Amino acid sequence: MLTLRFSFYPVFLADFIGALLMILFAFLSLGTAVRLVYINPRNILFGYLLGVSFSFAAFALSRSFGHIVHIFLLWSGYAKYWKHLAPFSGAFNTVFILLAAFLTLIFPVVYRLFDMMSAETQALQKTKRKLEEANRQLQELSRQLEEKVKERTQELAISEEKFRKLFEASGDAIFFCDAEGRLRDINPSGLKLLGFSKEEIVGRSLGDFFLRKEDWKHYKKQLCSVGWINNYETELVIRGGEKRYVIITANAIEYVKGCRLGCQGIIKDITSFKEMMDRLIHSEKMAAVGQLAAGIAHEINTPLGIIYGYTQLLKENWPESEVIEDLEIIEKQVQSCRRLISDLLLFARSSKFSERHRFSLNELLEQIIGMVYYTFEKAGIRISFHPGDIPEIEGNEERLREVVMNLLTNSRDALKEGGEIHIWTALSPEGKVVLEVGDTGCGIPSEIRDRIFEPFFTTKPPGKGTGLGLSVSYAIIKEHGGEIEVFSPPPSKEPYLSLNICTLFRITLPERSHA
Amino acid sequence: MSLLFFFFCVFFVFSLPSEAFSIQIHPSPEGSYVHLISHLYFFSSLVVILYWFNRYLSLSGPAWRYLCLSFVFFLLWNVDTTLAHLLEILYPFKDFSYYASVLPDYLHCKKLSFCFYYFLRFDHVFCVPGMYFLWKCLQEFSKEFYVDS
Repeated sequence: MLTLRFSFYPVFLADFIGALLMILFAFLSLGTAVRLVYINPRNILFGYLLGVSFSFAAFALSRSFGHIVHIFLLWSGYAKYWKHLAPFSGAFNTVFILLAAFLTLIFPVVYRLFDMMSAETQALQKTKRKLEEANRQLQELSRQLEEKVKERTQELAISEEKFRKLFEASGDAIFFCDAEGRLRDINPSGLKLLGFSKEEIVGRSLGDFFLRKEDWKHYKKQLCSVGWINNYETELVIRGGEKRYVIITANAIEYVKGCRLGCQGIIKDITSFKEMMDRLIHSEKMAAVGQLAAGIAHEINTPLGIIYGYTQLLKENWPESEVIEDLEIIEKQVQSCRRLISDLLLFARSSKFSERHRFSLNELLEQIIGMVYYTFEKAGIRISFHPGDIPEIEGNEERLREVVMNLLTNSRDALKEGGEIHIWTALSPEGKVVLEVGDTGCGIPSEIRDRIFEPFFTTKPPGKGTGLGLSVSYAIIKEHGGEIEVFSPPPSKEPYLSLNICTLFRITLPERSHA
Repeated sequence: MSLLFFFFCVFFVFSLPSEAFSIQIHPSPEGSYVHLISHLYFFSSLVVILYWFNRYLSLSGPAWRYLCLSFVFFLLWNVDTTLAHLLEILYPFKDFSYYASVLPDYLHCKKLSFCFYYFLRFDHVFCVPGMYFLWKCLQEFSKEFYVDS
């Protein structure tokens, strides 16, 4: 059996001091926790520590006061009162221990919930920040895009204006076709070239204007196979059936294998250039032929003169000779050759005529018509003169008479079964006198049209013509500083259409000869 | 089956009106049991939170150290008080205490458990340091917070 005795006084002392210290530290903790929560109310740990501190403070107050009061009541002889107070003290102690226990047990759950909510909130805030950043970037991009669009639109407007001006003001035709080769747009020069309004021309195939369908096929083939065509020379038919020499440079808009005809291109009208070149070539050719003819004429003229002189001498020496008839034949043929040489020299401009005076071309024409009228009428040819209001011209009247006679003779030969010859005179806008001779004959084939002014070129049977008539006429007109042109068929306009003129010679003479 | 059981219970309750338990009268030792249970509950909560701190939170710094120390001391305090209350329920220590006046003078340790009880009465040895470390913990949090701020 144990006989130990333990005094209760150390227990009372420890209870007393411990109770005081518990109250002190509990309230210090409560105060610190309150301050922490006040400063940072969103911190869940500080909230928990506040709850625990409060529970311990209340517990300490209840328990420690309970201890102290208990001791004092026992000492002071009022132990019976403690019996009434003890249950309250014990009950409060239990309640606050339970509160602290509950808070401690629930804290991990609340903390995790709070942590999850915090993580969710942070994630949401992060997402929100990212969205805001994305929105900001998007707005920035949108702003930059708007600026770029504005800038590009301005550049495009400037470019469009530049090319529009070029399109509108270009002297050459600029056109755009769709995939089927139909014209979609064409500039004013193109409309002027083709002679149509925009409403009439848009939607029509470009091929409709090609004179030769094989040229259109070649144009399409080139665009299809290569994707572009460069300086393609062809002829277009414009309103009224007139022809235009053009060169086309075009490229397919969307070139893919399998042929896309959508194209854009430039048409350059070279009709004037072509005609000028033709005239130049013709002029050069005629000049060369003239030089050749002049050389031959000079070389032949001298022996002919000797032959003619000796023939004259033989005729004088043997007037009663039996060879006189032969000599006369030689003399006649030599004279014929000399006339031919004379014409050749005239064509070669080697025989300049110096006799020039002012005369009325209309009067000259009336004289000529009066002279040949009946002869022609017998052949079924009617001559009509349409005189215009023209001034007198300066030149050699006889030479011009020869020219008109040559033209009328050619017309008569072309009207084997009768017909009409019309003669017009007029004053051109340039102030030149224009003489036109047209007939309703068979016309001149295009393959010989360029050769009719060459010397010795003729379609007449042998013995019917020398082939020098038109070449001499050409030389005479040139000597007058004029031009002679042939149209077969003539331009498609009045009065040629209504009169069925097939061949038209046009002579343009200056009022004052400057040859 | 469940419906039959329900009607049986209703019949049983209404057949014994004198034993109705609508208001239960709590006899004297119940308060001590409740208090004892509250200490056990607090003990369990502290075990859980210490485990949770160790398992799920990577804690560092003096504040957390003080908090853990505080919880450990409160854990020990709960053990102390639970055992003390248990011994008080088991043994009438009044019968073994000698009173010189109104206060008990000394405890006659007839059994070893009596001696154990005597030392268990010094529970302030655990709860005062526990409370102190809780205060220190809060102070450290205040410092950290101000430093962070």
